[in-house]
Amino acid sequence: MIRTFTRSKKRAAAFGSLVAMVAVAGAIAYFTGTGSGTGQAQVGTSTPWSVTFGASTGTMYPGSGTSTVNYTVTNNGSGNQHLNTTTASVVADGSGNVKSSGTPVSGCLATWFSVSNSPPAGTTLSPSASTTGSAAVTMAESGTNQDACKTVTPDILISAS
Amino acid sequence: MGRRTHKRRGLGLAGLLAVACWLMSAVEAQGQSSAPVKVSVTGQVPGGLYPGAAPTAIPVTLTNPTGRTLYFARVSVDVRDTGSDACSPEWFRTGAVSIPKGGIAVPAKSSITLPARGIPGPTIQMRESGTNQNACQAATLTTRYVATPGKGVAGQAASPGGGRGRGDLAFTGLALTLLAAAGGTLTLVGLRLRRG
Repeated sequence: MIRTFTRSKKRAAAFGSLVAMVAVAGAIAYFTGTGSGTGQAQVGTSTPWSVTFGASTGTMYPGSGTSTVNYTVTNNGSGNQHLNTTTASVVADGSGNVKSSGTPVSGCLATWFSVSNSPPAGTTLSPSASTTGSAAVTMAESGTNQDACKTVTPDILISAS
Repeated sequence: MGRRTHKRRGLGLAGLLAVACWLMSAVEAQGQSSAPVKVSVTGQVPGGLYPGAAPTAIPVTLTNPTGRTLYFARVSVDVRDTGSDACSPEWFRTGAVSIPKGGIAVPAKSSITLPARGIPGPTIQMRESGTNQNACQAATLTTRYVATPGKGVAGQAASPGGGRGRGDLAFTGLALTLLAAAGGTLTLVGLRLRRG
């Protein structure tokens, strides 16, 4: 006997297939996991600016001449640092004498010297980046014996912030 | 023995099969839950963070305390607290790691630390805001790590050099119930078609 599918049988078959597909879809289920936890991170701190000097040019005398020195400010930190400005001054010991290479020069007074600073423009420097400025030093005529300052190169302090 | 007898036997077998599958699913459901399993995620940012510095990759450890291999498709980190109102969390940028091909497998009762198998860890970076960020100097940030599940991939090793465990493709109780229902339904439909 030749049997043919009736409409109701086809519906039944279709329903069965649908159930099977849903079942298979549901069966492809993996174990999953969610996870969370807390930790810490440390923010670093700023690193002092590094200031290095170039060779000075010019010679100053009592009442005349100018000695100029260029300097470089470098960011030795691990992150960006903003340089606002620099200041320059002549280094003196407790008695008011200038220092030269760190050594006080007796009788050579720091007050006889003036520094005109040309700071670099304020800028944000990335690690290892640098910028430059210059300081021009002049010597005043004191009206007194200033021989103690002959051939002396006064130390200049550059403060960067 | 007539055709009717064969049909009755067939129906009986189908019924037994359905009942057996149902019982198996019930037993399976008792031993496991389809709810996601909680795992431990820990990380430690190496070194300090600085404005404008390059992103730092964070070694993150996923610990699976369960008896089954779990898969994770994404691991992320975010900054929850900086310890100071003046130190904005917005100044920190984090990067999640998305793991392709179903995720990375963490074998049962073991842990894995990213970077591993060519998969890097998430990253964190302190942005250069262009403003004064001194409030963040020396700050200790509280970070949160989240691992989201993956589907897993057939054939992915459950552990380096190891075989695949039962949990690799674990079926849930719900899945087995559906399989049982499908098997029973198909059998009954087939028999009805033959009888009709």
